[in-house]
Amino acid sequence: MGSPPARDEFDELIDRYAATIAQVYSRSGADARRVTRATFNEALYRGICALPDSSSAAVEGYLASVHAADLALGCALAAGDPSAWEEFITLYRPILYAAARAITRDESSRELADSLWADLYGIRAGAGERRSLLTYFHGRSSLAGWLRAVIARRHIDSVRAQRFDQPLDSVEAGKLAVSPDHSQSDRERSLAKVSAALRDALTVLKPRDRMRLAYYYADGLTLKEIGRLLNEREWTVSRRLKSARESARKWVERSLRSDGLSPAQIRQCYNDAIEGWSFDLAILTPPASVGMQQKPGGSFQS
Amino acid sequence: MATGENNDRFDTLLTHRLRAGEFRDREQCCEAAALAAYYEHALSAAESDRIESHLAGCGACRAELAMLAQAATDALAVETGLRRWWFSAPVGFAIAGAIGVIVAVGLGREYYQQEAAQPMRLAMQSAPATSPALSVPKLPAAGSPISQAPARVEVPRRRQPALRRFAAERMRASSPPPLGTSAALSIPQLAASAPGPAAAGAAISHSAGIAAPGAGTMAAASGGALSEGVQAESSRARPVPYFAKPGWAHGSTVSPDGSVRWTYGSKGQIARYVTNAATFVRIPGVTSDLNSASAPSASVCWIVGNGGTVLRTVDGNHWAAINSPSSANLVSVRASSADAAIVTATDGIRYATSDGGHSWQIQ
Repeated sequence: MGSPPARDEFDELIDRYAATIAQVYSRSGADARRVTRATFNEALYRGICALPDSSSAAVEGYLASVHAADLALGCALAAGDPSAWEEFITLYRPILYAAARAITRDESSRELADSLWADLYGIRAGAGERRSLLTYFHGRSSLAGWLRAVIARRHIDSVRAQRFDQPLDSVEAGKLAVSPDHSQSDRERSLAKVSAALRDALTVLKPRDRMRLAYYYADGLTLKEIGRLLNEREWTVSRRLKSARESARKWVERSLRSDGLSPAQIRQCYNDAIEGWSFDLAILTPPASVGMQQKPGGSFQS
Repeated sequence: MATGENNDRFDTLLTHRLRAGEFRDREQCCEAAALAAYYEHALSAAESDRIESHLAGCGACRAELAMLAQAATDALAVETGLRRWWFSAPVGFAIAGAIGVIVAVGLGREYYQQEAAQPMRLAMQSAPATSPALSVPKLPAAGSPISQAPARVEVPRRRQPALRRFAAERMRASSPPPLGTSAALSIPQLAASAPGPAAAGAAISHSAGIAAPGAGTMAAASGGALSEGVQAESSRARPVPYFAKPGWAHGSTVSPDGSVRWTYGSKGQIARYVTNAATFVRIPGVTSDLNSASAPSASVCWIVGNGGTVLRTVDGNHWAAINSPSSANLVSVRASSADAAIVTATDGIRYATSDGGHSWQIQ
């Protein structure tokens, strides 16, 4: 996406959707910002290239829903237009700082937000052309939403970097305890069986159900927080979580039973897997709750 | 097998497995732009599935989405900080009490006015209206069709305030009102027929308040002394409030015949009021705030909102999201039929359709 578009493909696409693109351009107010049609078309082309599929329905959907005014502002900013920057600083700096404050919840928020300015303006690499981070804004979301996503990503990456810098001996070793009356090979077999069954069980779930499970179990978010993310009611989240968890558990136990395991052996398998996987906790990515205030309660009834 | 015990073990396993599965290359992650678009519900179903599939296995992206939501919610909280303060418990009780007192006083006044006006109305009906100060047209002579009309419109008294508001709203919405040909019994028709002398008589015989806006026209035309009282009534005509969820409503519109009121508000909420009975709907998938509505008839209503939301009902019960001309926030809609409407976006661009939203033209 960073490379300049191939002219033939670019021209063909612009010609094919010329009428729609002209409409988008006129409603974007790009003309008033002195953003040329060529610059605006290139921004749209970058957006089209970023689509997961290049079908005409997807392209038309993108052109119909693009945040044209924000995209025009992004183009003007990327080009370094002073009046656009003045407007951006007036309107979006408070948004940027507020987002950083919401994410970090400490004094480092200002630093996090300020670290973005240079990238937004664009850094000249050697004698090359200045390239602004705003060229990655395609208008699929609002500019404010995109800025929040960028700043969240910046924060996550810094937290991850700090996590990976930690020495390995800081990992809790106490969780590696094993039960004495169980051989290593049995444990490994149990681990493999449960692992395969659980992977299959999770695979057959719908992506949204998997996401709910991950937010709840892996990240420890409350039902309310998950509901806010997915635009669902708390009880809907609770019901669907319960249903997904039950179907995954039944899948795993059915799979283990089909391997000839008795209920007692299944329980032992669970125990072995819990002990064996405890070490995985050492390689955790920061949970989604980083920067969020955890609230008590919100568990769903099993 | 102890299911509860196994449930706990399974939960632990699930936690471990889901966390362990997140150790992946950042290069595979979705772009910030796509994540922001996902959060703003701007992606197609297929693309949302793809993003959700990735999110299910990528803790970093999930964290990003959670933070994005946190930042957006905080921004909204700042905007609506006053509203939060407004609904804090002690302030809420105080406000609820104050509203109760105001409503009680208002109802008392209306009852008082109706009761107090009754002798005057009867006197006006029985005596010829010769006083230039009142400038009230005479009631029609016996034998004419209008004479069959009852002196007082038979409307249940408890409904009168709400119906009066309907009538007032309808008069505001439609100008000028059509000429009435008879002293109709329904309140909206009564209001609509206000310029006619017979209707004016009927209007006054019923209640100065009910026919307020129409009577305003009438009284002004005849230079009557009623105009002051009429305007006072008119200023009291407000949309019917909905107290169950305070603050959700952004505005309302009334159908031309005054029989239906549509109230629209935050998060795609719509209420339909028919003679004071409300039906609330939320359109599945519509979460944006609604900003304007237009009802060209009792069964047709267009509503527009943020993010290019355009909704329409053609039967009064079922709503459909219409192909939007713009992704910008839409701030106004004026519809003349189920097929023809003009919407205005925040950037001032007006879009018109004459085929029910299948195609739009910039005006």
